[in-house]
Amino acid sequence: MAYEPGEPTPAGLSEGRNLSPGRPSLPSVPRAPLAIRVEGVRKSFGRYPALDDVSLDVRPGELLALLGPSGSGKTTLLRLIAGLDFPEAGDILFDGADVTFAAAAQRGVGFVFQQYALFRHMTVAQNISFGLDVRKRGSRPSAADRKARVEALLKLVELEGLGHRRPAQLSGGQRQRVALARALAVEPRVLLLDEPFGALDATVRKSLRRELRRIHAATGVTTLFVTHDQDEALELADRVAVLNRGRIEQVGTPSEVYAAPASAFVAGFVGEANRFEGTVADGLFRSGAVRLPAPGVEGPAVAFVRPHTVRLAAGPGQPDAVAATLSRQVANGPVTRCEARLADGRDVEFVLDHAAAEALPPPGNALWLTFAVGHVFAVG
Amino acid sequence: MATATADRGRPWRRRSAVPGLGLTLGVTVSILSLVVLIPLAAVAARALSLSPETFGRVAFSPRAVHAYALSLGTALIAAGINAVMGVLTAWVLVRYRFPGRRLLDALVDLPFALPTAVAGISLATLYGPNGWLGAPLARAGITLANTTGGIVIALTFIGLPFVVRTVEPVLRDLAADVEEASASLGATRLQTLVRVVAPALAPAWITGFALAFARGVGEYGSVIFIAGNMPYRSEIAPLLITIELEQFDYAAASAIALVMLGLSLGLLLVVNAGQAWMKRSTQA
Repeated sequence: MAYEPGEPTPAGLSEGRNLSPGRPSLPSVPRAPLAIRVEGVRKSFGRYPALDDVSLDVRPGELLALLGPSGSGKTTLLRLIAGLDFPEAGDILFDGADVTFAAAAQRGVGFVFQQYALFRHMTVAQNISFGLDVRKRGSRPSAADRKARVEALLKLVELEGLGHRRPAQLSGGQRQRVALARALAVEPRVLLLDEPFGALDATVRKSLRRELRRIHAATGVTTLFVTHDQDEALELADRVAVLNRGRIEQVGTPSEVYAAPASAFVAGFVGEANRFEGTVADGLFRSGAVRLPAPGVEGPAVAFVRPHTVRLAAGPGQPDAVAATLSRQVANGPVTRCEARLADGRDVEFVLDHAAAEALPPPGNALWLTFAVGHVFAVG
Repeated sequence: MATATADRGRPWRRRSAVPGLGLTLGVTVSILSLVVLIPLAAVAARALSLSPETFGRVAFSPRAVHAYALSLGTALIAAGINAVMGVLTAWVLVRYRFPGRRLLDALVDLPFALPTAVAGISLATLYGPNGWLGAPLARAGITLANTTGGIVIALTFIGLPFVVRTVEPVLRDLAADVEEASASLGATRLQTLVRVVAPALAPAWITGFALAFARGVGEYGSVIFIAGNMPYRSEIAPLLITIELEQFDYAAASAIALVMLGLSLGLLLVVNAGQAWMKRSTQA
């Protein structure tokens, strides 16, 4: 596992999970992180297939993102793993044991909902403690232990001192932290998060991302989260599973998915890209004046060129230079984002560092671009 | 009253983008006064025109006291039954799709629409000694017609929609994810129901209960046909008022009415206060 070294580990929340040193520990055995296997799962809603023969291996202790557009089936897959829905075909295995039709309560999952789903009539502490309070008398920790556990979790999600508040008195980000703490309180074998940051503003989302990463490192629990935000998936996850129309298109590390997309969908969905339609002959993709090497592809094809790989050419004399007219340039943080129109009317986006952008003519003037690398996929 | 310095002199008047406070409040108060407050004040004025001794004798005669107790008691029991049955009905209507659901949905409103006398006559016929239900029950040794039980049945009938219709929208809005969260945290179905669903439902539930109770206290038409109306046994307070009116003893009728008014108002205030307290403690 690639945890950032030097991440603070709150006392007791690592392997052994004795939450509060000095206090009696909770009656729990240290457990190795859980492996999840999804095999050939199908699920449809009415005539609409939400998941179509989906298989996925989640490695013990990893942080895996289910990335896809809305309607791609990612939330459905998460709910099947949680036991909130059940598949029509296929199996779900936790450490090799079949849990396909086990009730949610029996699976030992922690689920964090997009809209938090906090119990509004309970305080923050009561919310977090709920999963422990509802246990049968034999396995229920003592009141003091439960209280200690709530305190430790409040500390973990950085909400110390807010235990007596009601959910309505918290901000969106704080509510989501409570939801996270509540899910962690039951010592889940797997943590499942459904668009956990979807309802939050950009700044809060960013800090909560780091938070989740830190908490994952501290607890080591196998974690899956659903997102439609590729930045979130690439930044946060150990591995990303890209879903489209009920199928998994690619599973890989963020850099694999970005640098070596397995399909046209992944190339277009993950990261920004200019899309060109054209044909490949003799290993060369042609689309108007745009040419790209395309080994192993033949016939009608589509190419994706990342904006940061587009270069300014010195002039029309340079080989493969494509004539264009600059339409717009905007300084965006460390880079300058530009938009140009090719001679055949197609718009192209590209990114330059500020030094290179100095060489740009004013908008409306001609310039020359080179397209050197792209991801080319056969069509049809 | 209003000073020249705009709103500063009128702290009760907050600037707001929502239009029409003055107009709508004016219309509301006028209508409420004409339809509710002035008639009630007239009742009170009429009753208080009696000397204190006469008022006490008329309003708290043993017969009247019994009628109050009967009206309030049966209305409470009926509202209690409706509180349980109404939530069940609302639950079924909201959470399940089954053939005949729309028919059931419409049936719930029937007690609103039916003239209460019609309901009373139907119930009296049904539960009477020779009725479809009354005859078998009589053989089992249970008499409902002309007893307190009969009154409860009538009040349950007319009160049911109040609970169903107040609880239904809240139940519909109660997001399924809260119940799913409870289940994923290991709660049993019963624990989810008791610890998660019931508390969320409570404010609307109490409102429905209060409405059904208030309706039951004042109900007349459907009760008198099935109650038998025997003084000291099955005579409700609204009937007693009617009897006094028929004897042209308006002051006595007003006195009894005033006591009823006070009792109902007091009980509703208690219920509302309880509800407000609950709301504060759950949403603050």
